[in-house]
Amino acid sequence: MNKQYLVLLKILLSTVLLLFVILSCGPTKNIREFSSVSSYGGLNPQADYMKVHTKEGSLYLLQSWHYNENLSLLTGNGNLFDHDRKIVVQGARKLHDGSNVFDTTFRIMEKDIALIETNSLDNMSGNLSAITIVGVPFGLLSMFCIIDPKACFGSCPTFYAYDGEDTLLMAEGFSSSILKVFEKKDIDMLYWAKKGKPYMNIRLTNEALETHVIRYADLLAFPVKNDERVFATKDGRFFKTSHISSPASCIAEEGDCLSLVANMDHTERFSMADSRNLAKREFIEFSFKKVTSEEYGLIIGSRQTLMTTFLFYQGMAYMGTQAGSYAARIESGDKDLEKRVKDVWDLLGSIEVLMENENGRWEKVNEIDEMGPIAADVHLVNLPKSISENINLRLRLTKGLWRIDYLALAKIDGEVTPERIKPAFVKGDMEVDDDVCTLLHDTIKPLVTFPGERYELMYNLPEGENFEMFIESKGYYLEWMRDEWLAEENLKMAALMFTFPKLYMRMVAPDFKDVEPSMEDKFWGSRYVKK
Amino acid sequence: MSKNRKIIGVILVLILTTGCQSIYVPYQYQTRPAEIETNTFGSWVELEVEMLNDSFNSIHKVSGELLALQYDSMYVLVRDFDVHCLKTSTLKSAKLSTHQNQAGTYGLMTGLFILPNIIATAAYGYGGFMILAIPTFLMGSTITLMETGEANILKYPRENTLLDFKKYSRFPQGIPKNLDLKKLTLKKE
Repeated sequence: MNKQYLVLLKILLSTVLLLFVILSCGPTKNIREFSSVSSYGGLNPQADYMKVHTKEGSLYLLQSWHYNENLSLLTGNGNLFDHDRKIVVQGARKLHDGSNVFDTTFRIMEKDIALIETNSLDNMSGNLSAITIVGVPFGLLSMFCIIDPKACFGSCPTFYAYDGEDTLLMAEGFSSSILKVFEKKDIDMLYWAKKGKPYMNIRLTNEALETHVIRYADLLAFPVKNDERVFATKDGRFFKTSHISSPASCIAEEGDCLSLVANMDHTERFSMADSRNLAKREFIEFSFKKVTSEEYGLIIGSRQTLMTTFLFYQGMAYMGTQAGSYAARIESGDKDLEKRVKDVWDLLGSIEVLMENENGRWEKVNEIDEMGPIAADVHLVNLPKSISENINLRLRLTKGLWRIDYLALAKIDGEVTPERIKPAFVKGDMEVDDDVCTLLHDTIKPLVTFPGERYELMYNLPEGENFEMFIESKGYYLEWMRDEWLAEENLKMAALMFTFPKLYMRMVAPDFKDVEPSMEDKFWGSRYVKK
Repeated sequence: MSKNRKIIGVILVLILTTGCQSIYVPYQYQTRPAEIETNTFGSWVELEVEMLNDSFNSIHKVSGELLALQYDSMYVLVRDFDVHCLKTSTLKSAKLSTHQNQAGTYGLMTGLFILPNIIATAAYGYGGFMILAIPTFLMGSTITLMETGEANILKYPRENTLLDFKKYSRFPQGIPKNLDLKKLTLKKE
């Protein structure tokens, strides 16, 4: 179905649902019903109380009742009021635990009864339920963010693309570029993207409390056929591949993890961080069978957990009011401080790929260090050509830092060069925004976005049906300081982080372990844009 | 004033202004939801009665507890031991409060549910949190607005007949025989 129709259908369904909920509500109404004693069964059966108006003006307020037709006698328990509504006989008492005790049973002859009355309030509970059902989840989301601000928001520019059915989050740009000095180019695979018609639409959003400075966001496209796929290596080279196969086995410390990594399907293998040292490493061991002597590469689909987000935000909190000063020092050329920041990230490390050689020893082949917890990226690691029948591989990675979605072996058919495509035009708030498009083409002036901004980047793909697509973005971002973080200012801890990062990783481990189990859920629940 | 503060201001004004009524009802006659089934008194009415004085008509306002509607007369207890018996033909208009309007409750509840969003907006200085409040606000304000339509007020002759009023009197069966009207008192708090 066409994407526009799907969007329209969603809007229509949402409107119908909202209308249904609203129409099923209504103003509260006091429904008062009367009957004669012989036909009181037609009154509201849910009523807790029944009022019996007597002909001489007194009133019985009954909590239980029974009518004997043969005797024309109504018996019941409750209280009796006179015409001035003062209690004459208190036949019912409420105990401390809320239960009722009936001391008197009234016997009322039908001939003395004028009317039977019941009351109920319509719509009250429905209205309260409707407000509660809608209000509680959204209120809770904000409360999570107030209580635990380090668990909220995404980071970096996020990119959404069409997968053939829907528009999905597929990439995040330059996650490690937290200052201008760290500005860099980032290539992210749009693994699930399908060619849109007539334009390829990539949605660019700023969903965090950050300022994003974006030099460009170019689409890199490769025409592909049949089962061909193109993957990028860490150094920005692209290889066309085929005959992609899943591992024959995969073992981690928790046991078999093959089903989690066999497909790129958002089902990820991850572990919890070490409770004493956030930098502690672990291994994942896996193997591929029946390999010929051709050139092969390992495909790794992964993203980071929220450990880096936590450490970054906690670092910001410790720097507190001095964060701007630290940033200014680095931007002004303080290479020593710049190196110390890099050292903190380096300590957490990358995903190292090791391969077992002919002598049974493990040799490091390469590594993947794509940062960011939002969207899984897919990379290719070229493996040595001289490989035997079986390939035994290991990943060495920091415990609790990585989520591995996909491991596969692919035959490399050759290096390819992409067609670089700049946005043909940009839509913002439903209208074409020439200024944003101009900035994304400009080599000097960058596009600067603030929280909540969102643009539809429209690319004109060449002729052809199937393309492998990547988004190449360049820029940096500035994290906003939060008031809650300032309350945690601790320059000694900030200094410790930069001077003794290994010790620091041990000291903050308990704090991270406290929030680790719920951090992922809170993070995804707190984003302003759901897709 | 920033955009965020304006949004918060509008929401607070809407919450605080809900529950306004076109009839004044003494506190003890504002029957709360929990008392709907157990209230033994009549409802509060406000009447405009046409009186003929020295050959010209004048309108008098009468308010009190509705005791009964019988034949062509309406009995209203205006104060302790003081019952007015009014000919229904002289009634220009009448209003009756069946129960306490719940707009304030819904408004307050809506406000409480969006309070975390307001606090988060104020704390972070970022209006994005108010987007999370929109569904709650839309739902709550729609229900609150429905409630401010005065569904708890009966209006004669515009929307209701006097038969509708009769249901909410102290003596829906009519004034009992031998009842001494001068001994009746108003509901106390």
